[in-house]
Amino acid sequence: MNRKGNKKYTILWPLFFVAPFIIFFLAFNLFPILYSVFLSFHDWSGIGDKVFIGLDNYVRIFTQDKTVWKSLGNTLYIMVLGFPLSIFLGLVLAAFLSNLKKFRNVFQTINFLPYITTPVAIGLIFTFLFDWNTGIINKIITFFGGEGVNWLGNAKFAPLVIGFMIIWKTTGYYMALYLAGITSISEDIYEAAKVDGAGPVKTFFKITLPLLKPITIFIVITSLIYALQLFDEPNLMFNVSTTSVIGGPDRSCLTMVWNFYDVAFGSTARLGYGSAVATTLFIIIVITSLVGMKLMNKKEGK
Amino acid sequence: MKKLASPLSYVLLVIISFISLFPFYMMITMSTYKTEQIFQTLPFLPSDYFGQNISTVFQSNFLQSYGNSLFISVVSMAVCVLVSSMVGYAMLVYDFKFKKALMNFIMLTMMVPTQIGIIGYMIEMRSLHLTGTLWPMILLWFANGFGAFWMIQFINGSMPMEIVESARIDGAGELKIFFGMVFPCIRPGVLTLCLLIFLWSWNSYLVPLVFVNNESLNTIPIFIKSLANAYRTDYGAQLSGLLLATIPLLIMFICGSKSFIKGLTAGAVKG
Amino acid sequence: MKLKKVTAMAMTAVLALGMLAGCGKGDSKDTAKSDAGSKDTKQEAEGDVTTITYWGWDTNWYEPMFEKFMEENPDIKIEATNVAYSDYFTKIQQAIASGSELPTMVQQSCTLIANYKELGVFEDLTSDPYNVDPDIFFDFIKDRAMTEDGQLIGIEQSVSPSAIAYKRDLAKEYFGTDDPEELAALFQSTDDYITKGKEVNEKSGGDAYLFHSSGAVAEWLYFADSTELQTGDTVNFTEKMTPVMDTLVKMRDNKVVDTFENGTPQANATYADDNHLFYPCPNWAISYYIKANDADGEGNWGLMMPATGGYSCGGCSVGITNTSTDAEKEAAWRFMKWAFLEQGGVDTAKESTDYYVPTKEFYEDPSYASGADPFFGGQDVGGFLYGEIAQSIVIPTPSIYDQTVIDIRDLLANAVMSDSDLDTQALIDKGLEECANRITDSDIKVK
Repeated sequence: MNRKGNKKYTILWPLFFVAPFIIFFLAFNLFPILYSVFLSFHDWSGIGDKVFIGLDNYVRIFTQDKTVWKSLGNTLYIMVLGFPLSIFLGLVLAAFLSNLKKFRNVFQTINFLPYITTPVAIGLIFTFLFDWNTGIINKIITFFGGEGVNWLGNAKFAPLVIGFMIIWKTTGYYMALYLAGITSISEDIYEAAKVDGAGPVKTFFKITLPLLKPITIFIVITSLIYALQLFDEPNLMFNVSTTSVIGGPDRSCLTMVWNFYDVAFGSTARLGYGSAVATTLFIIIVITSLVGMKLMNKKEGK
Repeated sequence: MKKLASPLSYVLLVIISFISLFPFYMMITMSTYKTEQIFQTLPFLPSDYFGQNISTVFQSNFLQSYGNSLFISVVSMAVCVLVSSMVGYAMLVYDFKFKKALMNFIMLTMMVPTQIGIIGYMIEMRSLHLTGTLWPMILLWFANGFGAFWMIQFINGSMPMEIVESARIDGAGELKIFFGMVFPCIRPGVLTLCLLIFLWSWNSYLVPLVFVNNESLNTIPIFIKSLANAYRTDYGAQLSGLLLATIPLLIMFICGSKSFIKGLTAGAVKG
Repeated sequence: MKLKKVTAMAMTAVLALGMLAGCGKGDSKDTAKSDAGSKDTKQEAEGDVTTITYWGWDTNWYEPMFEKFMEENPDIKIEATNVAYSDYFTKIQQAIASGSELPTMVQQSCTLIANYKELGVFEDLTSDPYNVDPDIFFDFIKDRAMTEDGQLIGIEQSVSPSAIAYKRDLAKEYFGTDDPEELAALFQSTDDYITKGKEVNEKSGGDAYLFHSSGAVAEWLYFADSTELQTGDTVNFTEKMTPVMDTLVKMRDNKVVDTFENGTPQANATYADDNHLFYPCPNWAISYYIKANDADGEGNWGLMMPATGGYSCGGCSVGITNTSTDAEKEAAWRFMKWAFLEQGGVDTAKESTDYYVPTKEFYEDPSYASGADPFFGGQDVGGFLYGEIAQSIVIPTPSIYDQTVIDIRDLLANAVMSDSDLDTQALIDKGLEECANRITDSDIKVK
């Protein structure tokens, strides 16, 4: 039963088990992207012939089209507004929760609810909550004597609402992940720390946090991916009426993917140019991912 | 650590839980209102219009949309989990060339959003004559980078290699080992991934937005959006439809909650 | 071990089932959807019923129309799919690019009509077998759906004369009269709206506004201005937008217009409140906005001539796609002929939705477009809209940038209200920057 050198175990079976993934990935995930790259060198509206125009689309992206870069900036801004705080909150809540004897499951389930809610619902409910004139948030503010804020109509506040929505949605998910991590840390370590006279705060920072590092990296990377793909919630929040402005007030919530969607399928269909925008995003994401992978590999080295 | 478990942490948790629940609560109460009334009052307490809203929802093709969404999610989930588990198994059990490269490749795939390729995907579906069916909304879940990564981590962390070794000595075939022995062992990981893929495909919005152009193909999110004409949106009906749409996810999560947490522990922590 | 085995088996069974169910469903779909040829034979087998498809956002119109038509023509079945207005053109383009089937009949929004002409997927209705003579339609609208080389890609569903609707009780309260003529005499120029609107707001202690939404006002002023948006290779953005923004800025500063965002449910709920007086009102808004949002307001509404004169706002045409089969085209044409050119359909549209066709001959019967509307306190709404206003409308030539500029207009109208420091110049600059980002054709100059 020496597996080494046996072709059955080094080629055939591995191939059998790995092949479906590779084939499906190439066929339905990678091929479309490559085809988009091919299209990005063309001028094509979806009808008629594709016209090869070389790098023209890219020249436009890098020299003229401010919207692409604005949408990138918006995405990063919304990401910074939302994720650090939700990751931090998730960690803190998990730390608190891990010490509870009662209701742990109840709290966990409740806080996980936002994560499973359909984006359509989130978009709807948040427009209700944050409306300038009739929203509940403003009604509460005015009840306490403040002045209602134009949350959804002002370019300064609209991204804040999206950021808040991200925190609302993901905190419970991150909490569940961290809680899983904390409970898997052996009690012995804590006991040892106690014997050494470390207080709870010190224990948390010196022991718990370093041991949670793999989870933190996992969370940071998955949230990065989530942020770069942000489309559903902003679109559903700011695309509510026939006269809605694409991207929300002053296009402050126009994310990269939304911009791409609008360029490709909006009032002037430009599949070629849309593909070029997509390819640019793809490159940005790959670079970000490579950095992320470096981080992961570092972790493996430890 | 223990001292932090003061009443303070209860208070904080209750506040956060309240914030988590509040929009949900609003969804429930607002679904009992007639749309026009939602904006005229503060809909904190339930009203009496839920029955009418629900009947509005069922008058249109809600059930079919529900069926479509279920079909999409179940098939996507089943295939994706199987394919991912196979990769995870191969990575643990076999030594082969390019193993390291494959790992890197999978990590990279995890980070590439499928939305980016949607134009190409659209053209591909067109040449495969799959537009006008539900398949475009399913196929792209089959190879999910996250899923593969997840199962690799999970199997690595929770499957002792010895089980496979001894099974081989007993003369069991590879397929029998995989389905008969490995699969049951990795149940928490499988269930967790099932839940996530189901959740993501159920809630998916952009891809159906591109491919649904016929009422018989509606998925739940698209259906809910269509409960509006140009100038009047029936929010009461939309919200009650959404409430119904959240139920399967709720049931799945509450039933699978234990396994889910176990799966998270093993999958993410050991990763 | 046994338990594990059972679970594993169950799991495999579920997987297998899923796959099977998948294939089964996929197959049935495939046969139903295969190519047009087999579809025809299938239809014949089902007793000569031709099924055609329609995508629309205007349920108020198509639901009663299709129902009545199918009742009278049992051999034709029309399947309608409700597509949100904001997604509509996108869906058409996606269908073309993805090779999915286009519906047999397409609803062409007038703000995108130039873009629809470019798609090249519509039948020319002036040619065989349709042979429509465009001269049978109102002059101001007959060319809108006509391409430069004389192809007619659609027939206007309804003319869209627009005026200003008002709440009678509030008009009495603030202006002492609810008579449309007397009110129109009070509002002779756009400045009158500002001075009177300011008074209303002051008199009410800051609660009441003349208009509810800057977007609605912008839409009215924009469409009431007959300046051409595009002349040759130039988009006259500044010329077209400056008067609109000027008025908006003044209205904002004098509290003439409230802060609702046009078209949102919150804004629509104001139709039923006591704080907003005037609503720019196209003919279709009567059923979609006023009657839908203020169902209890019967008798409390009136319609008056705007200071800008009547204008045309919104509307759409219906066209037949050239990708349809001959049988489908014929069935679609039978519907369109019935809906726009024959008494039965024309009357149905009028009775169910208050839509009036652009076909001139029906107006020869004076009772067609006039009659007291109890919802409007017995005012002769039809006579006013179709007799008075429709005759005086001038509409600019459609441009493929109409929708783009309208989108920017809405963005600016929202910006006016959210940032009180913005003046006309700042708004126009912002608009021009938006144009530069969104009008990408290098041959086009934006001024």
